[in-house]
Amino acid sequence: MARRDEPVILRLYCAAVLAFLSLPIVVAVGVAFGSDKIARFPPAALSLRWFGVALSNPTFVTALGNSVVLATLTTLLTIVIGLPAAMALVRHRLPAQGALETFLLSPLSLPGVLFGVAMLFFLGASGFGLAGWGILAAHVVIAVPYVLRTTLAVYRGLDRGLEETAGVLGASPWQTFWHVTLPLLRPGLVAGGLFAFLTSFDNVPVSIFLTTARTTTLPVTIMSYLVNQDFDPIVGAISAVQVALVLGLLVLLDRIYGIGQITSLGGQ
Amino acid sequence: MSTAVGRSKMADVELRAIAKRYGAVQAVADLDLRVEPGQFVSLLGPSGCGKTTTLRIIAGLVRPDAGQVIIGGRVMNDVPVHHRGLGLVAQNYALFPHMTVMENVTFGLRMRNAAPADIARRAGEALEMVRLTGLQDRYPRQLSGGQQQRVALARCLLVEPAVLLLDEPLGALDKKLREAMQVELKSLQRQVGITAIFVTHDQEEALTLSDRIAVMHQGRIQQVGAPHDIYERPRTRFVAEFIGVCNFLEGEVVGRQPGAVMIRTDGGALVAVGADAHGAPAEGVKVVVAVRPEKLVVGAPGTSHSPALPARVEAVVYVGTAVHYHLRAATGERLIAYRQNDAAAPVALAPGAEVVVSWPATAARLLPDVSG
Repeated sequence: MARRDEPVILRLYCAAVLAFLSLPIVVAVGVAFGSDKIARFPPAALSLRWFGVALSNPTFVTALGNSVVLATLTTLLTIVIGLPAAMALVRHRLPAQGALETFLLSPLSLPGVLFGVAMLFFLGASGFGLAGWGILAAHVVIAVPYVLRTTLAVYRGLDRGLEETAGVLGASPWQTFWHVTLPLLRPGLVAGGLFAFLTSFDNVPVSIFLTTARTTTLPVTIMSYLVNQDFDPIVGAISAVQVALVLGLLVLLDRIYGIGQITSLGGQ
Repeated sequence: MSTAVGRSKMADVELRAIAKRYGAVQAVADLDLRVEPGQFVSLLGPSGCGKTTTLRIIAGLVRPDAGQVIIGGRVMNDVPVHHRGLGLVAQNYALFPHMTVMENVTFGLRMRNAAPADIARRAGEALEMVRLTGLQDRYPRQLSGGQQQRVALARCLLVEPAVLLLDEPLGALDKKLREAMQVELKSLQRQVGITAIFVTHDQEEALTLSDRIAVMHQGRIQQVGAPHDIYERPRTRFVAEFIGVCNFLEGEVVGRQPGAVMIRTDGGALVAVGADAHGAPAEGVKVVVAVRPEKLVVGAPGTSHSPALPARVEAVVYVGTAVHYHLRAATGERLIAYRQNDAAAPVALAPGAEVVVSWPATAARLLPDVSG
């Protein structure tokens, strides 16, 4: 990443930004490795006891499981909705095309709290109540723009001649999609899917209105724990678990696709 | 030949009254074209002339507003693109970037669920034919432009298309490579015996490769004919101007002689044009006289036979194999004459020299004056 000919001042600047971004997380995760009952950084003595406490706390464990399931389902549904939407927007002439695209991307610019309250009222007024799929639907709405955006970017950069040539060579529209379009859109789908997963996995403003004791998510649980208790190493430990899960996912994707591939979007 | 790629179906192609409009632009208008089985036909014209749209209509990628596309005797208008059994090589080759050379080449056969053993054997033969053996595991981005081009060709030929459609396939190559690929493309097409329709804006390429050329302008075919026909006997000013370089003298028919028509140019000069079966226009008709620069004879005053235009040499451009004289006739017309740089007659004229320009009556063409 760092090239030899970059000026020292630029390197220092980058280091400062990286430190600013990551130090708070280092502190929050770091306290989890202390042995004291009181959160302290750096920890006086190292211990893994708070991980044991956190992972034997049924509230946290249930919430963690809910979050993983919710984020996974959100990602899958987002791709199922975002991919056809992107294909329609790029390859077809639709009435009010621009307006439609803006509408599909609009959840990005909607305040989360506002959307959460609106969803709460909607689910209440329509009689659907706070079933698990209510929060799933809400997460899909706020995550679709990420998949749509990245997939649109990749698809718009794709030579239309590839799909046309496949057709001339005898591939049916379905074969063309499966053998040509889908593999070439994969970088966009993986990047967008990753954003969708993370959006769902750490969402508070929408989830907080729509979860019940049974459907609560990890961020919401941590939040209410912090409101009721104080910041203690247990929260640090469960946060560390959350960070580890996300990092694990990133490493996995890097192994399969290469992070450069995912973040550069559409670069072959 | 009975190699994998040597069993082409040699279909003929017929376009009947094809029309296509994009908004206010008439991309193709009332276009008729017949391509005989096994022929190499070029659609030649400047960008925007409708040649690519025509090719895409044949391929089934664009639906015409009117007219019929008939391939191998079958009306194809309602046959979807993947059932037409054609081959297409695009300008940028459109190789699938996520597939190896082998996967690219075998794409069409795999989509048809051909037997794996059959696919492997035919792919091997096709790769050998385009001299890509050993590169089958490379990805397109690891190949040179010429190699990518040959992959696209092999991929196309492997499905034994009824017609090979080529959309400026040599446009992205540099000049030397382009010339090598022209020779290769032509010999491959002959060897396979396939009908080929080739879109290009490069007149030299069209002249080199084609059995017949269809010159297009503003959505219409101006003239169809063999390369020498198009070059020697252009029927419109556009064709004469687009293929090669041409001198034009505008004037009026003033008299007729056996085998020739006398023209008084707008500048006042009297010139003769051989009248062929094309039919000579009547006296008083506005016409354009077209003469190729290499047919002009430039000589010292008094040396040449009539009709001759007195002129002055304005510039001499030395291009190695030839010398180009830029001339201004005494009557005002500008002319350009090429003179082969041969051993017999070395270059002698300098700018400012007074000369006379003449040509054999049969070397000039009489064209309708569309502006008048």
